[in-house]
Amino acid sequence: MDNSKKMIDEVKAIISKITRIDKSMIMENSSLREDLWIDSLQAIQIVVSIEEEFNIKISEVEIFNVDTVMEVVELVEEYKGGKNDV
Amino acid sequence: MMSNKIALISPRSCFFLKREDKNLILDNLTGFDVHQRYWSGLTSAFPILASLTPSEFEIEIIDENIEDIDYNKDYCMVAVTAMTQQAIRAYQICAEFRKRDIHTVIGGVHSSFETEEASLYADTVVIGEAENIWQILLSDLKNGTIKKSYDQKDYPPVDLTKVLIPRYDLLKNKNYKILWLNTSRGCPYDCEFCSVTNFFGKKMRNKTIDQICNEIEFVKKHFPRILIGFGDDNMFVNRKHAYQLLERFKELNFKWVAQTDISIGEDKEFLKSLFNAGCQTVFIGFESLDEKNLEEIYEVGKKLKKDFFARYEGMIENIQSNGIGIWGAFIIGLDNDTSQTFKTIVDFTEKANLLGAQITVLTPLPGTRLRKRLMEEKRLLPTSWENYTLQNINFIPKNISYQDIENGIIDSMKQIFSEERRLKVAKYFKDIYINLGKD
Repeated sequence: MDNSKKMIDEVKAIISKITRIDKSMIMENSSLREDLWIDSLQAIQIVVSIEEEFNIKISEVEIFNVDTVMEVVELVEEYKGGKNDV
Repeated sequence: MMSNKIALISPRSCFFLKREDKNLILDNLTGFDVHQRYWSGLTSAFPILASLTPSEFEIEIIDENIEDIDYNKDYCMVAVTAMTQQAIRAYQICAEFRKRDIHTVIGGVHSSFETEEASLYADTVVIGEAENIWQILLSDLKNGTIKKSYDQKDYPPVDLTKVLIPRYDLLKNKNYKILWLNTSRGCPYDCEFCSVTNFFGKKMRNKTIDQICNEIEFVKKHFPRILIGFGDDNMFVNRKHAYQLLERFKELNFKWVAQTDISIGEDKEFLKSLFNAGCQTVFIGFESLDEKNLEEIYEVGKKLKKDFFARYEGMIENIQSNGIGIWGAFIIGLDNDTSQTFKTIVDFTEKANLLGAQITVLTPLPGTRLRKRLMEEKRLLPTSWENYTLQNINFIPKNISYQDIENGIIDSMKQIFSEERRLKVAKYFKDIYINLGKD
């Protein structure tokens, strides 16, 4: 598995763990709000898990501004690449 | 030959303000969609009726909030359920079908308390819980002997441990964002503004743990991503039963929300179990932050509730620090409320970092002690049932003006759902989840 695919898989696993939705139901283009119906509490839990998993610090606000699972992955990539918004 | 199709119809409803301009303001508030989501969906009444319907009949569930009614469809019977705010629309629907010689049945909480009125508009009125009535009613329909009314009191009491899994699968095409289930009925508190105790009784009746879990598995099979809401008016009254339930919920691995009272805030072990079992948010009716008002609301457990009142802050902190958000419910228009009450509620919500809050207007619903009292005090306004939205005023308040109530709701919601508060609450919960991860 290349790095990008690995990260997508890890982000999906985190979302699955927090939302308790089966991982197979979570697609890269799934909308957090419209398809997975993630609310603010779950979004914050996802941020905390991502920080722990990828050893980064991201602003809890940014998760409210992304729409799809892939956009969460891109956000993680940005922070891993050096963005530090906190 | 008689058609075998039965339509179960939930009439169009409006549970926010009847003013479009003000609704637009609310729609645009940050995070208000979550509030709307909690007020959406259908009660389990129709899936329950469908589960009891013999296979010779075909059931169609229609939610007028999301789909139109085809009045020219060949139904043998139409059954409409209505809360008070939906009653007028329910009567209009019945009138349309009666024009077409289709037998109409009305049930639900409003017609159970306003039976005479409902019988003017529908051919048959079902009073109270329908589980032990429905099959008899259908058999009477088939035999041409259907009655003007069926009253639960004339039939054996409903034993919740015997009810079948409701046919939630019939809701599949509705695209609901939340599905409401019930594990129990009844409430011991009999609050003045609420008709639940009058309708379901003071004694709590629970489904069995196996029944509830089978129901959840059924829902998960048909709606793998849905948020489950437990519509029980107070889900954890029987704490021993609740503990057993939570143990099984852990295995079922799903997220859910429920209604409860603040007493769970003193049981730290229970709160841990609640979080581990997937509980995400609890709705707690604080109702008022004024002791005199609380005195008026509660008949049962007055002392206990007043005792809790003094310790709200600590109890809220206990619940939320276990990762469970609180959606606080407050009522405006109680006799000791003034124009300052809104500020008290908003300040409390902010100080306690409540995840969310809603403010509804005191509403003299049929079947409540409140309606009786306001009637005696000649304070009921001659408003239409359509005005019973929980956001409009239907009685003469004592110490607050109509204008203050109407403006106060919008202004308070703007503050409760402001971007600034969302960020503060997000930070608060982030710290909580970081700490929980360290445990």
